[in-house]
Amino acid sequence: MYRVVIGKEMGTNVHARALGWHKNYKINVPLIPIASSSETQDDSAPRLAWGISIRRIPCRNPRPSKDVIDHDKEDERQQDSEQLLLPRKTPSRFYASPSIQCSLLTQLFYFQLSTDQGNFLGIVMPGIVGAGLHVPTWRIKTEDISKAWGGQSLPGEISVAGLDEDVFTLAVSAAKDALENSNIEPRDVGMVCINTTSQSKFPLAPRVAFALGLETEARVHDFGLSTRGTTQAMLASLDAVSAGSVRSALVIGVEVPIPKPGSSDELSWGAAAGAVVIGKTALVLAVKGCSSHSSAFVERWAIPGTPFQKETAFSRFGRDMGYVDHVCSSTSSLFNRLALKPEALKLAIFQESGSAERAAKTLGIAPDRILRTQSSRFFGDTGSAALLLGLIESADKVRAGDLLLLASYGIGGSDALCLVAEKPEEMGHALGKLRAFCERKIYVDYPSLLRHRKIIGYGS
Amino acid sequence: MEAEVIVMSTPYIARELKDEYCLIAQKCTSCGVIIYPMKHKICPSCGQIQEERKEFRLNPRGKVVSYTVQYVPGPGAKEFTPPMILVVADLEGGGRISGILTDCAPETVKIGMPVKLELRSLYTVGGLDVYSHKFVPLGE
Amino acid sequence: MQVAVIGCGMTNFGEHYGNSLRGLVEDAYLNAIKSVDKGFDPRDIQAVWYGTLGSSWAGFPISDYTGLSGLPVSRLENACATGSDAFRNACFAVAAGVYDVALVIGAEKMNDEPCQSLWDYQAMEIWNIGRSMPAVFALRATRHMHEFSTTREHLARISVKNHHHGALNPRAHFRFDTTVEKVLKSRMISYPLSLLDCCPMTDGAAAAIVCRSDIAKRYTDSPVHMIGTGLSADTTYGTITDEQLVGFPTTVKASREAYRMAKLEPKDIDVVELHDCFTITELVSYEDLGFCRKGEGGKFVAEGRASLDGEKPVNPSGGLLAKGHPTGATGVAQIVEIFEQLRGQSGKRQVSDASVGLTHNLGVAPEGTVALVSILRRG
Repeated sequence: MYRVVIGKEMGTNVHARALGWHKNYKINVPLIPIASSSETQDDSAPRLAWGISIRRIPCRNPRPSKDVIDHDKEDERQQDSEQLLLPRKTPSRFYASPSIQCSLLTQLFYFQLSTDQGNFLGIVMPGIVGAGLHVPTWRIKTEDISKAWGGQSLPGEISVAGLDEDVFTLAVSAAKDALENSNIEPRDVGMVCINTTSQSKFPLAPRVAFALGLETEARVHDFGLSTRGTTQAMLASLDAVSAGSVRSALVIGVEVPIPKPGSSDELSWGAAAGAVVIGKTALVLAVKGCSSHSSAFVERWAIPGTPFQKETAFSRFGRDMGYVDHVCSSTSSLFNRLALKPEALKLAIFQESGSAERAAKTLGIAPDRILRTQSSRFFGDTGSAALLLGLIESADKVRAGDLLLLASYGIGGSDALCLVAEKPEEMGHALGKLRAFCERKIYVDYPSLLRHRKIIGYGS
Repeated sequence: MEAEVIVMSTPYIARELKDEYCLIAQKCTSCGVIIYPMKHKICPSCGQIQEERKEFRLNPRGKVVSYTVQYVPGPGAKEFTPPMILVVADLEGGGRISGILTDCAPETVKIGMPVKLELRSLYTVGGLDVYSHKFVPLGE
Repeated sequence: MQVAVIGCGMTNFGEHYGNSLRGLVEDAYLNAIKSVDKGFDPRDIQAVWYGTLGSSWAGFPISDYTGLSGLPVSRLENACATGSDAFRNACFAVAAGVYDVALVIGAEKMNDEPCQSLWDYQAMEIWNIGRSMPAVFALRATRHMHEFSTTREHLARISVKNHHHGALNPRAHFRFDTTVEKVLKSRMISYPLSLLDCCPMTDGAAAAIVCRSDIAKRYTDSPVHMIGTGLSADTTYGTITDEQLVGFPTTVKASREAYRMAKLEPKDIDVVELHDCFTITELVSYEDLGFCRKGEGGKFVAEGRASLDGEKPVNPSGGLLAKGHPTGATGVAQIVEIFEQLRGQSGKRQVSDASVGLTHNLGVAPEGTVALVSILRRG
């Protein structure tokens, strides 16, 4: 078994101390900072952080030197903290299978080179442990909607909730999926946050907590009224997890929208639910930093007495002073805080890709870095769920060490988060499910759409 | 049947909430049969008295054992969209449940088809939804 | 058991919008009295058993309708086996020697007020909200077709046979002949059962008068003796067995009990009135009553063995499919048909030389089933 200590600076020589063998190995490859503290221990097969490798280099000095850190001894750690700048909390450990003790060639761990120095905050960072989703089976082609209003044929389709589905059932299904994918027991989830702008007859979070089998004392937060609430929920969860108040938290974004018939919203809003588990260990994506920007600006509001919304007639005004302004403010504030350059981002996940291009341009993010989601193509604009589905779609587009931007927008403002990928491939199961949802569908016609949305029907 | 059928009093719904939402069934301490829904003090299969209720969490995955496609609604089906598919399915790990199969084209139902239980709204009483589970096809 | 049936009567079965429950009970009662060969004085009746599913409550409506005020009236309900259960209990009272003569009445008015208890009972299970009665039986049909080589054609043949019998029965709800093709093409109710696979909603009443066998000669020279009865109820709630998916184990148990009491075997039965609320019910009942092996019900009807001229005529009255199914009255109406068959009074649908008859009454709900079998012999 090898225990490797990862340090901060690039080019640091790290001393590895083999447990039981008392040999020292010098690592002569540059390292990138790793934010996770994944503690994996599996004797049957090596389970290591993806993309990390160490080449065993025999050390000339077999005796323990003062450069070697014994993690069981606190004072040594203190002594060498300047040299190695280790995190004070549990350091990263990578365990290899005992079989490599027998082989000449050791397990190879590759450290990826980073062109930029990331910002290691020096504490164990919380992040996303796993994700899940649920999308209804039903779809309607946008051309069937526009034709019903005497308009043109427009390409695309959106997802529609079934007659027996609503925000509650979608939220529960997505949350169950996320818990399964994260391998987390319900009793370890201490907090549930749900965000939706769709109608719900009662608070969702306590019911979802009940249906999932969480402890009755779990925190239950219902956000709402804005699609931006999803990232606010993520921030609250990240704080709770970092502070140690809860072991892990569940964030769910769900929409079963009722857009006004005949409006442009009707052509784009889709029903879906996404869920992520926030935790501290075994992270898929770690959160490096975040920033927010809020204001009283409003460009869309509810029509009283109806479940519908309307938006300002000045669409470019709404887009520029609303979306672009707020997203750019929050994102540039994030860049400053983390001393991050736009080029450092591998992927930018924006709320709603329509105005995203404009915001990206202002921010200096190259257009090929913007995530073009399959979910928006096959399900439509899924509001509060959109960013969470976007995170799932990043699974095969980033590798360990890559930086991602997550920028939300809703009435009230925008949040921007910077994430660093650790084991994005572990979201592969959720991504596979998302792709299956894109394929498996049943189409309805326009009158059925109105019935599904309970705009017409037998009444209740 | 035009009559408004109030089928469930709210106390019934409240009593059965945990079992309905979390799929908690009962396993007979004597013959091991899985009983769902409703709490039983006496096993309906072997007749043995259950000193304590042995809880058994149902696995949502299963296979269809029998089915029918109903074209004419029965009572309580106010939002009925014919046709409605009713199935009896054997769940993995135990339990034989009859319920509604939703989000499925009627021509594709067959005996042996894999299905999964999902939380759905079953019906509405006075504006309040009553939730439990329905089957959905599992696909390939 | 030393009980004889000495008189039977029933109304026509059908949609009687112009008649009330009172009118139906009166007609059935008076027809029963009229049918007693040597005349019958209503004052001989010492007790009444009244079966109805939901058309009225308690026993005093009967006191009102029949003018038998002051007499003991017990009202019974046992799902669709109500009528037979009323008959069974009346027979027990007479066999026990408590009464010499008792009256049995079964009645139902399904087309007036909604038959509330019937509908509510089915709707109780929230998992299957919206499930109709045909669906409950259709689940058995699908499984039976899957496990054995039963086909929709087999089911259709049962419908054709029973409608043919119904055409010969002046009291039947439906009096038309049909074909296998018409049945298969009729409107699908709940796959695989189509409209002509299902019994209708019928109004009607039936009555029977029972007395001690040793005094039967006072009323008629050809009484019909009740020689065996069996009843069984089970549950499908909470768990459903493989047998319950392809048949009705309660029918098996109830019939075995009746055969044992009568000291007879299935092959000894000459004529059968069984509970064909749906064609599949008749098919599996051939098997459950012991007339053929499990899975061979389709062959049984395809070979014509259940027809009027077959070896085991089933439902010469037209059964529930054609004669109709007023739920509380059906059980008693089956007794009426067997009574007349065993006395050679069935006209065009007479089964030749019938001396032993069997009635089978079945009640099914999502929660469970109840079956009642009675065996009668020509005196």
